[in-house]
Amino acid sequence: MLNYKVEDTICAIATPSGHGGISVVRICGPRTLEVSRKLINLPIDIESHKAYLLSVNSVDQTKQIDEALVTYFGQGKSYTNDETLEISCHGSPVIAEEIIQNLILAGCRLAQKGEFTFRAFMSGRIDLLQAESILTLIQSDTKKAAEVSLRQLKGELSEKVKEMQDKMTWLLAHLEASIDFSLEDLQTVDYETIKIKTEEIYKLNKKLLDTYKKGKVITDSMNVVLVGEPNAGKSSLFNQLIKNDKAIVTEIAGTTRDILESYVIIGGVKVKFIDTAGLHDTKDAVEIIGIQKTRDQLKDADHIFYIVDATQDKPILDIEILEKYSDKIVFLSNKKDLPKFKENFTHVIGKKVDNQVFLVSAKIPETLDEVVLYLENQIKQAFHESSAVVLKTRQFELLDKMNQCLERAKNLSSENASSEFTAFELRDALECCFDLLGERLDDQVMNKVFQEFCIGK
Amino acid sequence: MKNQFDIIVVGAGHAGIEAALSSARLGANTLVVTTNLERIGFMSCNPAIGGLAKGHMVREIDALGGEMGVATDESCIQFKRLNATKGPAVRGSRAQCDKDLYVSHMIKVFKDQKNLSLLQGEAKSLIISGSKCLGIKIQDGSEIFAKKVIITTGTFMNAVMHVGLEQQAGGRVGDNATVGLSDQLKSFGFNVFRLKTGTPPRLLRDSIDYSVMTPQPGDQKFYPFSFKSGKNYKLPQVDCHLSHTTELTHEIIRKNLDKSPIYCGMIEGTGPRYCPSIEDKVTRFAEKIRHQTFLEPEGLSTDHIYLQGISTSLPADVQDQFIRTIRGLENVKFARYGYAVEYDFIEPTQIRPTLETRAIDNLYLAGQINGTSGYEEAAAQGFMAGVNAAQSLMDKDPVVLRRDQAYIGVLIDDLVTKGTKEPYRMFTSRAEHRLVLREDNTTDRLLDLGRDIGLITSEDFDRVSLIREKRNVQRNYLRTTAIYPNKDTNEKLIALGTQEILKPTTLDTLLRRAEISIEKISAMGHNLDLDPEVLEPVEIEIKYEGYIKRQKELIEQSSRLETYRLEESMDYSKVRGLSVEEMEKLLKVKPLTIGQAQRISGVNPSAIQAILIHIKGRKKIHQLETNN
Repeated sequence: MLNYKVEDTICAIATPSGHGGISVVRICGPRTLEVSRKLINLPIDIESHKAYLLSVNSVDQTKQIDEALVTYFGQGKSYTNDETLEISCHGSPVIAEEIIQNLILAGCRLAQKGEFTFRAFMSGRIDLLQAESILTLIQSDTKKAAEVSLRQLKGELSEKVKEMQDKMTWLLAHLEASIDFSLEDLQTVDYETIKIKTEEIYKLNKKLLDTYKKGKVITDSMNVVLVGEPNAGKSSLFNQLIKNDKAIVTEIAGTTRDILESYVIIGGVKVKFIDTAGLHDTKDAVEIIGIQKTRDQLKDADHIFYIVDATQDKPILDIEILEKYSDKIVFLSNKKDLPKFKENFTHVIGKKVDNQVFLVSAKIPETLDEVVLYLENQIKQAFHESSAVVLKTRQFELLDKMNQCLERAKNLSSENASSEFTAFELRDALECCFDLLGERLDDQVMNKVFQEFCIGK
Repeated sequence: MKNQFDIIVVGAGHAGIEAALSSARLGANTLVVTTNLERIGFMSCNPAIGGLAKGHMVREIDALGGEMGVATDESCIQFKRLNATKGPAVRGSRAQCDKDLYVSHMIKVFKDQKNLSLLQGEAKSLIISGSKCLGIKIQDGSEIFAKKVIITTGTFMNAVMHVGLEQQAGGRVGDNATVGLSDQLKSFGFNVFRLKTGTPPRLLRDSIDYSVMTPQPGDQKFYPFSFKSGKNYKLPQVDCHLSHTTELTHEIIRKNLDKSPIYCGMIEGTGPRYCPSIEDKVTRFAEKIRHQTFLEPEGLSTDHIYLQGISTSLPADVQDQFIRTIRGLENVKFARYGYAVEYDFIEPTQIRPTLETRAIDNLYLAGQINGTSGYEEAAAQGFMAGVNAAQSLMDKDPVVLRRDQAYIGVLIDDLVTKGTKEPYRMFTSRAEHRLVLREDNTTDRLLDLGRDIGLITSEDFDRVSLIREKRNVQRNYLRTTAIYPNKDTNEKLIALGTQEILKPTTLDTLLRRAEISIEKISAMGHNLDLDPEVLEPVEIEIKYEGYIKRQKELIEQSSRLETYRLEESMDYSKVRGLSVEEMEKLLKVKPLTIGQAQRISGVNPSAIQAILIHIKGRKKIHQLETNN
């Protein structure tokens, strides 16, 4: 249970700990000015959104702590919506901490985790999805993560949820009217309309739900798994892709028995390349475990680079993998540098494939540029402007629950079942929207959301 | 006449009857004061009891020990189960009643009731000392004292009847208005507002040409409202008839709208949106070329026919014109013209969930005075007010029904939490837990409570227990008996219009198929009790088990907040983080639980959070103080 008391005036250092150019101390609450005046000689007619260069003193006025830039944000005009004052002092932890100590002496309380954002939520300035986006924004370590989080903060995801909420409310109102006013010859909604509308909402939700995979790419990474026969050249390509010598590259087949991973940043997104054990029939217990691990990796992969030694006469392909993951496989036809290399991939594997094929060699680094460009384009397509993305597990779980409700509602409406059951499903789905936006009280959820924050935000 | 009672009930309409009977039956010495002892339980408007969601409430009143269900069964001249093709939770029973027989049943019950005295008279004012109600003063100036007073004056407070632009004081044709009471309540700080309602013309049977109308017969099968009633109709059953207005009807109405008191601004009160007058319908649904009307007989021995759906307050001469444009009514004769009534009601957020007013102790309000419409809504409140007044006299805990327990719980919680701006009518959609609030399981939900209160006799209780036991037997039989995929079984299944089975299947699994019923299973050679009272709830519970289970889970989830108690004395002005609007609303409604606070319109989830934080903070301070 959250225990933030909103009547308190709180303070915290809003910048990371350690030395830096400046540190920002933030004060927020109804007594902001009263408390700050005990340390700083603020002008009587202080204006919102204006910076003042002022001396910051100890409460007992015995010493000056720092000279700092002080910015005041009036009620309704700040991050939290409450009156706020920010002190940008010199970037030594000693100075910021001394200011905090004196603020506490003056009557402030040290803020708890996420308390500033909680106040912004409580004041209705932001909804719960937006609060979560602040967290992902803070935690983002790539450009895309920051970009998508910022779009969410501006309300992009909230808009989508609200759109579904509106549609469901409309549908529910009509469904209820068809039950409660069935005796009055009013024009109520017919089964066909219910069906179409439910389908429409279902599709909207499904689309949103499917973005979670993209969201994972942003908050976590895009996973690219390299597979292929032993000695197809996976490890050398892996090394070339990550441009270091993390993997041991040898001429003896079956050296990479474990999974090796490394990150690079492509198109503003973290890309995790995963090198795997070569696929082949083996009785070696250690190798069998390695191959099993490879198969597990494939499930979570966003892209699979299937590496084929194009100098071989008849390379052995793993039919199961090809069939199961066809839509995320890209072929890397390897060893372009060798004379026996065959340019025509159809001839190499003996059949035509629809998948993208790149002719590459670890020895000719330029051959991999196209592969990287391919990934970059994939990322660009996935995150083009104005597409809301689901970022948090909590969001995914609620949308998934909605998906199940809407799927049942859809089936019920095509069975022409009594509308009270369709209404039940829609109500349940609607509750999920309320939960997503934080429009219904669930203190346990709120607790979880805001506990993830650091102090000072 | 002695002038000291335990409980005085002012009014003897549907609310007053239940209030008086429940208090008298619980042993309180009760007096009913009404302006007309001939019209106890008179149906001022339509001659029918029940309907969607309303039928539920009649059964609930019955299962708790009220009278409405019995009286309805006694006077029923046509019965229908509405929404019969829809799911089990939204089916509702409705009965056309013989108005006179309904009244004479109630008069007889009143006369036979122990602890109950009757007085014809008008309550002029309340005797109030400090913030306590001590009794009433009647028209001759004499005072009658009581420990509790229940006001059930319906639409009679400061009532004005309108026929066209003519007005006349009165709550109903033939009865006077109650003047003075609402002014007195106003002087005690009550918010009093105005509502209006209307009633259609009554026509003479022999002047109607039924041959051009569609007969509307009732159902063959009777599901009595009272668990105490027999399963056969007591009276001959009659047909209603369906006819329609014409474009000419609408034209006449439109031309004369300036003579309608509502349209020319003479009536300020808000009308029932869900039961609009024909003037409203013609204006709001201008594109419709006809509106339906049902011609409902008001009884077996009267020739008055109620013109359902054509409530109007247009002048008599306009009614003469437009009514005769309805098919079959070309030469109709009027028994009485339609009219509108405007009356005072007390904003119901000023009463507690027990229906006692917050401002004046020992004063209870029930029925249309609280802004509701409908006989059933009124009776439900009257019953609860009577029970709570009597419980309080005996120093017993108040009886407040939960929203997941009864429609009556939804009704009263809505009224005291949200208030109302128009005549409040019950709908199934108001009950968020309606899948478990069905007509078929009413006794399961409420009979135990009725017995605990003391209004259900042990003979009645035992009789229902026997039925419940039969249901258990049937349920167990269906759950534990399996059929096997052999030739004989599968042939039977195909004959019943369903697919064959491929593996051993229990009967309850089979019953979940849409086309299978308990009757069909019985036809396969299983010896099952086919009494609908036994079979129906069992069948519904099995067929809709998944949904019922999910509904119960939702109830479970919400119970955490529903049981989180708030002090009535809580000072919301001290809670930081509330908007001024939220603070005012919370101070007005004074919710008793977090769940109730959450339902106040305009109170946001963040406000609830702020209240929780405030309470926690205070608890912490309290702990610190006690530790020191």
